[in-house]
Amino acid sequence: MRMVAVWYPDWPVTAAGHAASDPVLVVTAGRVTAASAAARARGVAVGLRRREAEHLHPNATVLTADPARDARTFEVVLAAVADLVPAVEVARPGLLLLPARGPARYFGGEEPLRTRVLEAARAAIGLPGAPPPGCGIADGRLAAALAARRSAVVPAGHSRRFLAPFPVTVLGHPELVPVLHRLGIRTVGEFAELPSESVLARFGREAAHLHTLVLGSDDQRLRPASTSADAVAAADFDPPVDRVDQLAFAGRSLADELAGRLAAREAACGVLRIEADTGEGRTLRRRWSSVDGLDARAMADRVHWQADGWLAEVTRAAVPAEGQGSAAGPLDGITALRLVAEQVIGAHRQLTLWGEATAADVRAARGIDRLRGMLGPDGVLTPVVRGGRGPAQRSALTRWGEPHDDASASLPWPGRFRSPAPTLVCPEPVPAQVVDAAGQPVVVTGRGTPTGVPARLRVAAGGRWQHVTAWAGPWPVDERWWDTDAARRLSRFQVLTVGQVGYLCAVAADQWWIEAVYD
Amino acid sequence: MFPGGGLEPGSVLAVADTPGSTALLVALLSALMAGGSWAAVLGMADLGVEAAAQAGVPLKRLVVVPRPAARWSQVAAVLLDAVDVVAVRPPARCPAGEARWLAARARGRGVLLLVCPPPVSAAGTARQPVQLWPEAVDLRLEPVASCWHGLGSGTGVLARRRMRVQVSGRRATGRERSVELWLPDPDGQLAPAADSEPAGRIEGGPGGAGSHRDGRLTGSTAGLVRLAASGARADRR
Repeated sequence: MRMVAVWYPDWPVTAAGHAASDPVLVVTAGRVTAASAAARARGVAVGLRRREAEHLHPNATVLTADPARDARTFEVVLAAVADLVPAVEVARPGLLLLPARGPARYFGGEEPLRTRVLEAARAAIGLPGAPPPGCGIADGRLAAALAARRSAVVPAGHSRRFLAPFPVTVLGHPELVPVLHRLGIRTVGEFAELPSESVLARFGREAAHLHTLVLGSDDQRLRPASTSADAVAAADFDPPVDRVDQLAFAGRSLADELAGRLAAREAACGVLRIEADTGEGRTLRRRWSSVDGLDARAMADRVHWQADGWLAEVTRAAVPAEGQGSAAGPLDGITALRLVAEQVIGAHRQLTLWGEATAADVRAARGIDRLRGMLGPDGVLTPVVRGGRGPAQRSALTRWGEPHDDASASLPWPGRFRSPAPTLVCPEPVPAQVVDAAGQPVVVTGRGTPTGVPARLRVAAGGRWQHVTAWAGPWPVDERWWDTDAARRLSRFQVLTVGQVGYLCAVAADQWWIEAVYD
Repeated sequence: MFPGGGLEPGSVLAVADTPGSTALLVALLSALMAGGSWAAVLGMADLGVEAAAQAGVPLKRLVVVPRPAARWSQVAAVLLDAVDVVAVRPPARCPAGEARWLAARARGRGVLLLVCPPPVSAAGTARQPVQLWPEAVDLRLEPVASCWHGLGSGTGVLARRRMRVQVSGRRATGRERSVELWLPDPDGQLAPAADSEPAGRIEGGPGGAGSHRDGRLTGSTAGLVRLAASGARADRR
């Protein structure tokens, strides 16, 4: 998927109100997590010990990292970009992503879109001397984030070549990167050249997933969540809530609830939408994404930061700044909070975390990984019952470990059989012939009636004729008539032959097909 | 149904290729997986997933390798290490050496190996009877007669099927046993067939159910064994 990314260099420094020329260090637990350009010019690097950094730059202002502050100030930027393109998502404070395809069409191309987004993003930081943001467009979130650092538009399909010269540290995997370094693999390009089966077998699923990303393919793990109620957790407030801590507290229990529901479906949240209804009837919305999946605590943090951002923005708007009138007016408070998992990530790999994993589960998971290494991801499948009318629609095999949503299977699906399901489902329908007692082919008329009584059936591939002892049908199916390409119109029959074998047949355009066998 | 009361872990069990064999296989998987075991199905791209779900197979613990291609015996060996029950559809010509090797491996790991041929009904033709497993199997289950109920001439649906399953093989202590079952019943599950119900044209066969013996898989097969045993008792009456 084409993505636009906007990246603000040294966002924690900017968020704290310091210009790039101020010597500033942001530290967490004794390590530098961000530094201003002026500090970096003296040799301070992210990851350095605080003591070493202070030695390099004795006059630097040292700030404690505060993700809530970063997020709160980032909200202003988000609001400005969201005015241009509403579907903005936050990867972390300082990096925002948006889908490129629709907006690019609207603005007349990717380059004009990049220019417009960049203008809005630059205008949004009201701090003189802050480092200017970068904006890039590429395939997928990983490549887009790196393209933003280069302010480049990477043409579709060129992600692999674009990513190749970057060091493997950009993959952001704290366990994998040192291992790759020890093996002498320094750049993303070298990592991409490893055969995928070996990556899976040697480094495990996380690495295999990163490997598919650096090969330039789409993020296969990230799937749209269904619209079902499972993907939503909501709370109403009466009286309305207007304090950050109250909202954050509610957010924590909602995050637990949502994570639990997703876990039951073996999924984790990849893109979280936080929605809040305000007292005067507005709905505030923000998306937060993470390629690794957000667990309950990460979701709760996002809600806290977001609440902080909204309420801070609102308070600021309510108290008119010098020379400006209040635009938004005071906020009555938040009356409802909703967490929606927009996209989910399969969490088969985290099977052991949910419920009790037995020794058998662990052994099976290990063996399955080995098989995936032997056969590739398409070789090892897991069965899923899906929604649909025909047997092939209802019985599906999907890649092992991918999230699947079987909520639609339990819906009523008018038109399907009230009968035990067939035990064999032909992967491809097998052509067949059915004739009546006089030897004339039986077909279905336009009015939905058969032209004769089925007397004999032959599986076309050189089969012998079998007498039909019982049959029922036709059950007409007229699906997707609104879509000329996907539309299909057929009639289904159940046919029982003298050998007590039941067939589920479909007749379309006077041709009989065997879809499934009641073996 | 099973001599000795349960399925011995590490034994090889074959399902014959007569009509009803896939339903029998699915019912076996369901019973064997009831206690939290994992199972794998090798070489069956056409398994009806919904039928398996209706029969009570926990799909989350079922691994499907539909097309192992040339490496089927290697894949089977990995699966024997990973899961508790492995159902294989061997290729048309399975070398005796490979079969022996896999059977020994299954015995060593205490894994139940289910051998199932492509059912005749899938091809719609009478094939030459194939030697599907070149080795002697511990138990062989064969649906010898079956009869569908519920479908008329232009009316009804295939609602349930009565079948007689014959048990033979090395462990069957020489005597052939058989049980009568509803497979599937209208819910897609296995149910014992009592004499009071319409038996169709199938005659009851001699039945017998041995005592339960403790084994790793015995507990998980208890459901199927109990059902089969009650069916057999009904036959004796």
